[in-house]
Amino acid sequence: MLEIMNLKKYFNKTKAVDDISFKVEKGEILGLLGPNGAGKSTTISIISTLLKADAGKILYKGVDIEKEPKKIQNELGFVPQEIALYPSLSGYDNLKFWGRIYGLKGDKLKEKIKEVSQIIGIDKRLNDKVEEYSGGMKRRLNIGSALLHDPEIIILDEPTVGIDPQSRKHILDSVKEINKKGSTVIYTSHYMEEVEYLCDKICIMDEGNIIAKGTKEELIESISAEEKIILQVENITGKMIENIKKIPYVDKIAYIENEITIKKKGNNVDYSEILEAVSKNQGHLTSMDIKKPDLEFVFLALTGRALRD
Amino acid sequence: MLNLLNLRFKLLKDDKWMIIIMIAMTLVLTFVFTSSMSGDYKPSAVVIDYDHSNSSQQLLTELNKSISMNFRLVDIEEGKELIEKGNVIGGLIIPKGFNNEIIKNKNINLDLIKTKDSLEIFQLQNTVRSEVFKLKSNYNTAVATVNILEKEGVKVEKGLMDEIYDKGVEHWEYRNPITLESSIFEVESDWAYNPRIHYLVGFTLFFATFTIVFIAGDILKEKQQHTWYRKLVSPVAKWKIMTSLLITTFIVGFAQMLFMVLAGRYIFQINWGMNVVFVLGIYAAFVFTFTSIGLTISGVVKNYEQLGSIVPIILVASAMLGGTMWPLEIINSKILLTLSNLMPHKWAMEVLTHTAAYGFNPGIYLRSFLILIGMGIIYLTIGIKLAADKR
Ligand SMILES: Nc1ncnc2c1ncn2[C@@H]1O[C@H](COP(=O)(O)OP(=O)(O)OP(=O)(O)O)[C@@H](O)[C@H]1O
Ligand SMILES: [Mg+2]
Repeated sequence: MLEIMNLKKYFNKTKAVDDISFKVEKGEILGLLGPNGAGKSTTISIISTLLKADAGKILYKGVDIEKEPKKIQNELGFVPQEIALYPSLSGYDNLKFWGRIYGLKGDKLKEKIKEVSQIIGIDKRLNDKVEEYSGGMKRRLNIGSALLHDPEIIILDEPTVGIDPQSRKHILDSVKEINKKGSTVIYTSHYMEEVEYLCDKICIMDEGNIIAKGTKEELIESISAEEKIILQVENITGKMIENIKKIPYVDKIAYIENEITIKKKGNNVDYSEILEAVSKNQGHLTSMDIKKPDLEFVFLALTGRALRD
Repeated sequence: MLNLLNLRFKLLKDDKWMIIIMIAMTLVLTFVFTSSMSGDYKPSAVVIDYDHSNSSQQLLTELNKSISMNFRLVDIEEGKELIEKGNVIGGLIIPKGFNNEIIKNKNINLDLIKTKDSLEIFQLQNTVRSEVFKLKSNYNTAVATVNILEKEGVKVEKGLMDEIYDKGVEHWEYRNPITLESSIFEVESDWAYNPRIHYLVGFTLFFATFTIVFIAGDILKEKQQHTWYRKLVSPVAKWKIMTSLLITTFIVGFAQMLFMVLAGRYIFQINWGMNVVFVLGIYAAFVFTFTSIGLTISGVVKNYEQLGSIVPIILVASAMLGGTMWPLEIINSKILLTLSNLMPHKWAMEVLTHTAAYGFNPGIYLRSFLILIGMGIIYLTIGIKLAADKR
């Protein structure tokens, strides 16, 4: 459905997007995961015809979008990273405006406004001014404004930034629902949980490059990551760390303040040895976590940095 | 397009207070300034005559006919006192030998006593200057006529000279000097200062520029709100987005002008000297120019807040240079006068005040109109380019 080939975009010396290629198939949810400044927004700005690429080509249903921008513009629902709404107008007027921009009118428009406002859960506050909405409601309306014309492809740029977990859950579920109704989705985020939860396919971006792509399982397998054990201990002592280090399956150990992180090797693990080492040294264990490898691991393994700074 | 326009008009309610304030300011200031400048109020000046001659008498007689000022003959002590107390705006001193200078056709220098420079002092200077000039011309005409007659061998009777002189005065009586074909005259007095029109037009233009530039600046609000980019990725053509903004700006600016034209008609009883349609034509051209300028300014500044801090400076400065605050005729600086040609205000003011004083002149009207439209097109081109370039 969408094919990105050797895309490049430089801002002076910043290589915002540096020769990336990927494909989006009809009906899937593709995740673009990457830290701040990875080039996610730049990439989708080019896809949505807002920016011109320096090099490369994008085909939408086989049509070059630079030559025929109208094709994708008509079928695209674009949710910008920033809230792009008219604060002094009501939610209803905002939806009406964006709907009409895409050629909806009359009863059809009214119907869609009703439907979308229910999906995003603001149907009770439709007549209030947007500036009176909470952050989460604005975010949801920001998404809703891109849904009215039943877009075939929807691009969401970090739609959950800065909102409470409840609104976030609501948004993620809405995206899933929209996808089920037949829209193809491109979802960018720097939250790996979101991407893990939503996406069929994931591209991990860093410094303008796609450093890995595939399904979640493929990505994790590719780096053959291991579990991590995380302990919260009051009064950590040097002796305690020494003792833990001596345990055979402990590969690496690191600690800061009250937290000890242990990287293990092998599969036969008896956690009681660790607990013993702690209590023997008058340590007071408050919690113990076993972390399965996730996309965070993948990013760490590929770049040596954490996904979130 | 209708959708875009509809949106813009809905968004105008954010600007409603600004628009109301601008209109109110225009009305109030015009009212304050014109009521002190017209109607029953006639500034008074004193005349101190050291010459006590025919000519000085004659000058005083002519000055007393002035419709814009009162003159009173006093001695120097009384004159100084009146001026210091502010009872009169200034005093004219006719020096000894004035009569002689008139007769010998020399350069004449008159003294003016004043406490400060003001528009009224300027008005006084102007009145005196043109009366003295008339006096001199009349005398010269009389002398020349007598000379010619004598050359022709005609014996000139005593008293004929006075008769010719009187004829000259009569001649002036029915004719405004400016209609005479004389280059010196044009420089001296091709200008009739009508404070009512000047202030009404000046304030109308000045305050309208604020409304216009700030509404054109809504493009910056849209960029800050990101709605601009959201519109750009939609299938709506960019020129439509742009045009809807410009049309709205124009309509609001023009409506404000229209309101002031009506106010001029019904509150200030202005006689424009031409069909109101022509007045509106000039105002429309001016609104167009400033809509384009507003777009250009919006392309130069970074955001709406910066627009808010920079625009008053630009608009006040350009309005001053353009002669909306005081007539350009009282400015002597070459640089300022040259600069004033670049200000749209100047061209709108010029045609409106000129027409009100002398009647409709298609040449002058067309020149102002075309200059305004020309400026508008230049700024529009720059403005569209800037708006497109910036993300
Ligand atoms: N208009 C611009 N001018 C100059 N540099 C830019 C511009 N837009 C983006 N960049 C730079 O390009 C790089 C990629 O930016 P981009 O916004 O695409 O990142 P992102 O992955 O969306 O980050 P975030 O998660 O913070 O939104 C950054 O280094 C950014 O500073
Ligand atoms: Mg971004």
